Amino acid sequence: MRIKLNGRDAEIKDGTTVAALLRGMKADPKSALVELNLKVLARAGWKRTALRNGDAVEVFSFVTGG
Amino acid sequence: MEDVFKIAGRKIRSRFMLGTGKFPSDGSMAEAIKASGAHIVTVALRRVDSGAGSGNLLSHIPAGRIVMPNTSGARNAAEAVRIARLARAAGAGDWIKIEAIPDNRHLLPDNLETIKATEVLAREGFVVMPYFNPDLADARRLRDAGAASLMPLGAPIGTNKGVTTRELIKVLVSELDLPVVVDAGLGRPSHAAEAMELGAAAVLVNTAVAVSGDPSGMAEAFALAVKAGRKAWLAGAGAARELAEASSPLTGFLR
Repeated sequence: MRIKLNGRDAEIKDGTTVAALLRGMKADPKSALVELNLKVLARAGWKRTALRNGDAVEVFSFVTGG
Repeated sequence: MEDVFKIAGRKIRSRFMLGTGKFPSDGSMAEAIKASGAHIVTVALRRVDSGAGSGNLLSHIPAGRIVMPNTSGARNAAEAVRIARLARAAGAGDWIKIEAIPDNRHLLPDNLETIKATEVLAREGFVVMPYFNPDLADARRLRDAGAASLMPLGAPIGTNKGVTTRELIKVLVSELDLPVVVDAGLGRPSHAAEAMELGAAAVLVNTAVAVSGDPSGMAEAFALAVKAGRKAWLAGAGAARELAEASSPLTGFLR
């Protein structure tokens, strides 16, 4: 199925959870932030949230900056 | 008398704030934060590139600091508000430095969008520190919108040019009760001292420390300069004069 990941089309397996998506991206789960369809998805929900076709996912993390 | 520095009612241990960008390594950043004595340090928020992954920046920041995310990358109020909400949802706390910068060449902020974002975020309980072009009318609008401090630029970000806005900074210090934190463009400890001598409550520095040959040494130098400038402001500097005025008796030595 197809989702929008950070604004770009991405092909993922059916039933992929947010947690699995983050693992695939090599995003540190302790510090990543996730928006699902423009709403913040709390860390507690990552394992139980399976993505659906057409979902828009944004993954952020803190980086250095002034 | 103790010189207490407070923002939004919270006592801040240092008038020197440090950005975390551009350091050669996470280790050198951590050492510089310690050497600076900074209580408030800034971070940014970015999308994670798929496959490139992300580390855990916050784990490298020494304990006991207020981590203040900025909204860098935002071009307008809506984007700044989105970043602030995300950062808070991620557990970064309530402090936010607003940057709304539509211009990539000079990196100068858009005051109108900054005011709009300040209004929304202050209402949501954020401690809002807006980065803006020093302008008196806009400073009053930011105060009325609920800003906890004002962050006028000294010079464009990363230029190391010093307090090029000094006359405007003086106006803000004299006209507003909010702490004025001079942010951006301070390239040397003497620039930081100058900002403090003008009556700034604090300064925020990043580039000048991070890209120096010895970031920890430079962080310490800035911290000392901030203290010196603050003491000079409290002591009250003498006015500049056109003609000399002797500091020794003017009578002749042998007459």
